Amino acid sequence: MSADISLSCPALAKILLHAARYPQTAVSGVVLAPARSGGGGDTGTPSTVTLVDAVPLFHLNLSLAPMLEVALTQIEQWYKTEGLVIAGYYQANENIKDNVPDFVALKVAEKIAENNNDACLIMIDNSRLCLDLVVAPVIVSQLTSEGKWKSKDRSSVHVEAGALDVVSQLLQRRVQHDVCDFDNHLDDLTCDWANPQINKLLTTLSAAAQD
Amino acid sequence: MATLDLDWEEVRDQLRAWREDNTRHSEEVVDTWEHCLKHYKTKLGDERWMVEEQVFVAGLDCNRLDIADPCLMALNEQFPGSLRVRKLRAMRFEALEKFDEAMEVYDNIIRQDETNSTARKRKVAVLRGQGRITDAIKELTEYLKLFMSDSEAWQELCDLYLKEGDYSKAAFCMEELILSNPHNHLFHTRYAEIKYTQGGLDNMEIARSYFCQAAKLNPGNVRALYGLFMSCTQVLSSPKLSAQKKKETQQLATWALKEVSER
Repeated sequence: MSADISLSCPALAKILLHAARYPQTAVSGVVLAPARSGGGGDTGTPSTVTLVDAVPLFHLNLSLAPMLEVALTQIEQWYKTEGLVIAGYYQANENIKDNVPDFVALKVAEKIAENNNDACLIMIDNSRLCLDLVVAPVIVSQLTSEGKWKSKDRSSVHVEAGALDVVSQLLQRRVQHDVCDFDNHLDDLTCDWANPQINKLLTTLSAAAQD
Repeated sequence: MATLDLDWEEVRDQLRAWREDNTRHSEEVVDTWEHCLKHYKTKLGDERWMVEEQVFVAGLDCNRLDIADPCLMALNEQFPGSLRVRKLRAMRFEALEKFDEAMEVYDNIIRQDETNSTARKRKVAVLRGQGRITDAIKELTEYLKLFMSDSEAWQELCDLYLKEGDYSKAAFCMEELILSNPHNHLFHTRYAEIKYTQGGLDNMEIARSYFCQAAKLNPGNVRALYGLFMSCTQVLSSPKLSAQKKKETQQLATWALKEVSER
């Protein structure tokens, strides 16, 4: 529970692109991490939880249950084959100055935590989202032993090297318009909420950056 | 930029379509205006003023006051003393987060014209923009006492109640909307989703019937189909169900899932 959190480029990119696509509403989604082998992982040594990817969920009516349940079930099933589990929930509130988790965020995060001890609750710090990211505009919280969500220090939240530059580039190029969330999928089943095109783009950009 | 190659008439038609659909495309409006249509504004005829208003609001939305201000000046010159232009000026205050000044202008407009609904609704928007949701709800409920057939307002009120987690009042708003728009499958779906979220067997059965109705009104509504399946599953898990009802519900659930997989 006091594990460090590491945000990979795809996870951070999809979270921020989703928020940037819908500046006028709240958005939500889940983050994925590799499944822990062998139970809750209470070996005594705090390891790092790497959030390898994210799935944007909704930008309309985040507080309604049925579609959320459908989404979580589908995502769990889909990513099981890749050895990934739902490891957390992210939300960007509607108001730019508001980065406090509301009852929806708390409820969903708690539900996820029931199945995953290391579950984290990520609130996007709206006012820090910009075209030239210097710091990851997120506030990551985890459950304490008393069952309260406590935000982690900046020092225990790591971001993949180069990710901030890559995401800034994507925002400058307005790639957010290509991101699909579950709401888009429900309106048009051909929209893929796994956003493979974003993953591909990121691989290309990261490869280019290394040259 | 690709927009430089766009025909100005195409841009004009596109803006018109967005105006008529009342959809939000602020970035594109600003882009196409800046790089194309702005240079042809004198060719727009009477439509020019609606376009200027549209660009103004889009400019405010994108924090491009450099785009918005000239539009406001043009509109002011053309329609001096207009309440509609005054409302735009108040929206500019909102964009600058000068909420008190904005409220003053709206109150002014309402004093001059009590039937002006847009100014009243903007007041609700100001409160929502400040994060004062309970005040926004109060203001909107007062508004609806005067303008009770305003569907847009009922939808906004439902949204505000959902933000507060007040599902029963949100459901009431949807009931009003369904009464006045019984063929709108989206309203049926939203109502069903709220009922589902409230939980309990009675609500679940109501959810199931409204999802059913929505799917009937629009067989392509994926939310309704998924919702139907989910609510059937929930109803089936209740121990109080008779055997016959169980069978019916199971059939409904299977059908719904089949419909989704075929799409």
